[in-house]
Amino acid sequence: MTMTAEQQATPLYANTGFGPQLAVLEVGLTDRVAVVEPESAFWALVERTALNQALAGSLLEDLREQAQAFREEMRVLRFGLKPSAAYFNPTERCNFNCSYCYLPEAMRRDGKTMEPEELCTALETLADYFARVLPDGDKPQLIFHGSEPMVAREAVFAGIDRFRDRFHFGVQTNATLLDAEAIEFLTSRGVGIGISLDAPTAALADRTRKNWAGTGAFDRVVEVLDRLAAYPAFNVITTVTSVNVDTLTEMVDFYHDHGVGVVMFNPVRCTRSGGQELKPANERLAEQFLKALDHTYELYQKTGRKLVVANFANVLAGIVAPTGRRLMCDISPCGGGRCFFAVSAHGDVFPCSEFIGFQEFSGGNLYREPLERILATEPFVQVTSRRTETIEPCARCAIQHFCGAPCPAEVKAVAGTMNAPSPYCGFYEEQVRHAFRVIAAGREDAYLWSGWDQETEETFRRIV
Amino acid sequence: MKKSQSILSYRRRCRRLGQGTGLSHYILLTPKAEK
Repeated sequence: MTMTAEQQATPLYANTGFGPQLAVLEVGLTDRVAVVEPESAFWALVERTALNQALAGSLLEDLREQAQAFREEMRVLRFGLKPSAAYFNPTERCNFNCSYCYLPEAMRRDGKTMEPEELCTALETLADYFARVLPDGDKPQLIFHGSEPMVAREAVFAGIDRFRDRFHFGVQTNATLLDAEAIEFLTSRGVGIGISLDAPTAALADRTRKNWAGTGAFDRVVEVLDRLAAYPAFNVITTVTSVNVDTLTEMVDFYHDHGVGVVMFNPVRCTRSGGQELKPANERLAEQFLKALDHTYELYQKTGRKLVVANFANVLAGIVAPTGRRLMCDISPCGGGRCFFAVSAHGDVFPCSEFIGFQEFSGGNLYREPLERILATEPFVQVTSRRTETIEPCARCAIQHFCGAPCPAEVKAVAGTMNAPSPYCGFYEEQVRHAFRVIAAGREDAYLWSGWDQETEETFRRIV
Repeated sequence: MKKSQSILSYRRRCRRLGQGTGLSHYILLTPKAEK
């Protein structure tokens, strides 16, 4: 072995020569820090007095042994996945006019709604595409999304009935059009249902989520929530804005009291001016979000019943099981255009729903062009090639693969270019620090969705 | 009082990578309700 090859094979120190880059992170613990190798997403929690073992000792040996497999795992996750899901907007119209919607108002007010046959033709094209790219037996996801998909109820229900053997279906809805018959239809067919609610009181919830006449529907939404809370494929999205950011802990109580199992506390996307005007400050958001997370833990301890905050759970999963994450916003490239794509009511195909208001990001029309060609067009490549390694300061950030600098549509709207960090950068930092504190306390199970451990297998463990 | 570990590190991987990974929303986080 030459001297160089020998040094490469057995570096004695981190951060010099052939040694790996190991960043040391303060995570808010008095006795421990985190060390992270960004490229492979390798991490360890290390006692401050044992830092020598991380930077020049046994942990380096572990990393040397695992690095190649971990990097390959990250390569597959970031660049090797096939599309397995589509967000499908069966109508441009919405019966609501929420302050922060990322779709243009004219589209939501007067846009197109698909007829049942149009929708079924599009689903046939999508089903055929997924059959070509996915392994035999894998069933793709199709999520009816908005605007408000229940405006196109007849077409949506026709599609679900005709294609239920070829897709896992889901519907994301404002819940106001979900009557008893619709709930029976969807639940009897096992369709995933997500609804939106922004606050625990009508006075606050109806400030941002309201119809064209300015009237909210809090009571109606809560009625639907109560009917669906025990349904296993049900969850709720709360869009977090400067209006409701201080109510997140109350929201946790509210959801837990109503028997909800999974929620997302999604910071409002700044893709349009309505969202930008309602953006909560990162510091305030982090403070209230983490307080709400702590409260889910308290309730779990007290009652044995979990309320999973899915967006935090995904960040936590991204650390302990990078390939076990379920959502693909917080990894770079994001999932837009490579794990999923979005279809408009005209059949135009976009990397993600966030881009539907930007016609220049359409890659083509699925009624006229093959999806393989659409997914290779320049608008898609712009999104699928966006990597933290080419963004400052993300390129030198230790947690770049726990965050992913989301979201390209939002970043472009705010910064004028996709090659910029997330407007929620500071918030993501605090989520990652909190996730390390959860790991240090051994409380991962309390925050992750049921079954996460069965979905994953352990490939490495070091406890000293 | 229990002493904390001086080093803690572990990693898990998805058993079926690509199946169930890959949305921008929540739906895959909930159990499949299909019969």
